[in-house]
Amino acid sequence: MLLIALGVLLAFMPGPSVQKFKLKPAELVQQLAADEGYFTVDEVARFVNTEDSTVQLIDIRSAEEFRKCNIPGSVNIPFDELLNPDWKSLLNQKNIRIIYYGNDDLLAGAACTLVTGLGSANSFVMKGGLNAWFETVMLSDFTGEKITARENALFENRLKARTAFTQINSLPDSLKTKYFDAKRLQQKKLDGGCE
Amino acid sequence: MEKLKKLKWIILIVLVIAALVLVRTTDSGGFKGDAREAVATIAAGDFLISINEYNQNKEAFQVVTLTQSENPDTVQFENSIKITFEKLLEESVIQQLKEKQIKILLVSADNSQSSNAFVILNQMGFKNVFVLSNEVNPEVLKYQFQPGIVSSQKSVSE
Repeated sequence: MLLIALGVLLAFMPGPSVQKFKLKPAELVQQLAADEGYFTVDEVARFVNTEDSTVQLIDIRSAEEFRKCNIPGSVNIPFDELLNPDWKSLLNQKNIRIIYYGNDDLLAGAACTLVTGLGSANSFVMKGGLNAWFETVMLSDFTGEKITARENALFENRLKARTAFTQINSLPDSLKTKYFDAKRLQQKKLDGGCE
Repeated sequence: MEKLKKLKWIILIVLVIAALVLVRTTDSGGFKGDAREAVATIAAGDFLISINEYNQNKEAFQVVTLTQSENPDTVQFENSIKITFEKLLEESVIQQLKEKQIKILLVSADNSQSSNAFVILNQMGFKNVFVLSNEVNPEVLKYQFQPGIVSSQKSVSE
């Protein structure tokens, strides 16, 4: 009887608190190899310009780097806090595409793989990180005599995103904080949340 | 007879419990690691090996080049194992990685792919896997933003 009781305890006792991947290795490789897990800088710029509510940008750099400059609409989750339970509901939303970015692809790629392995769907990486954002959006210029309609649309998209980036990141820190708090409040109201 | 009937039920219960215990303790799916350890390793930068470190001691590393299936190899390393990312978990590859007692160095033209492969192998229990970095710290922002001005970090420091 004692053995049976011990067995029942062992079988139903909660396991050690280890955060293990839920997907199998082959599933995870297949998902990542599909190459649909990336958005280009131009695509992210369009999301920023249209304030696409089905997209959430996550800046995985440190708080200090985030404070210096960041893509409008991003939430800062430093990489070492990625698995903090406080962020679980934000990173695991069914109808929201979560796009990770760092200065390059290394940390963002790792972040995306980690959360995908742990079961979060809809995780993506902005290709090239903030370095690519600067090269493509902030510093690109059209040089030529003629511009095609497509080039014009691309240039306008980048210019609009550049303006938004400059405006937000030029605000003094105190105003930046108020701006982001107001945005979060507005979003909560739209989602039907409480203040 | 009565005793036998009771014994049958006890054996059944014990078997069910044994099955449940086995399911709980058996490794599910191939991932063994704690994701938090991977986060700590990556955050500390301990998973990166610089090109200088590699060049100083090439014998200590086995390079695994992750190639893009449709693009030609842009990265060339002597004696490297070349595989596409999709074939990372092929039996032959895993067997080779298990046999190597030296450090495994993941190389790819795509940084994101190297880090993806690192996380997967790390969580499968390979603790001797690293990523080759061309730069001392690849995650450095190369540009500086000041209101109205964008400049390259290189030109600011010159």
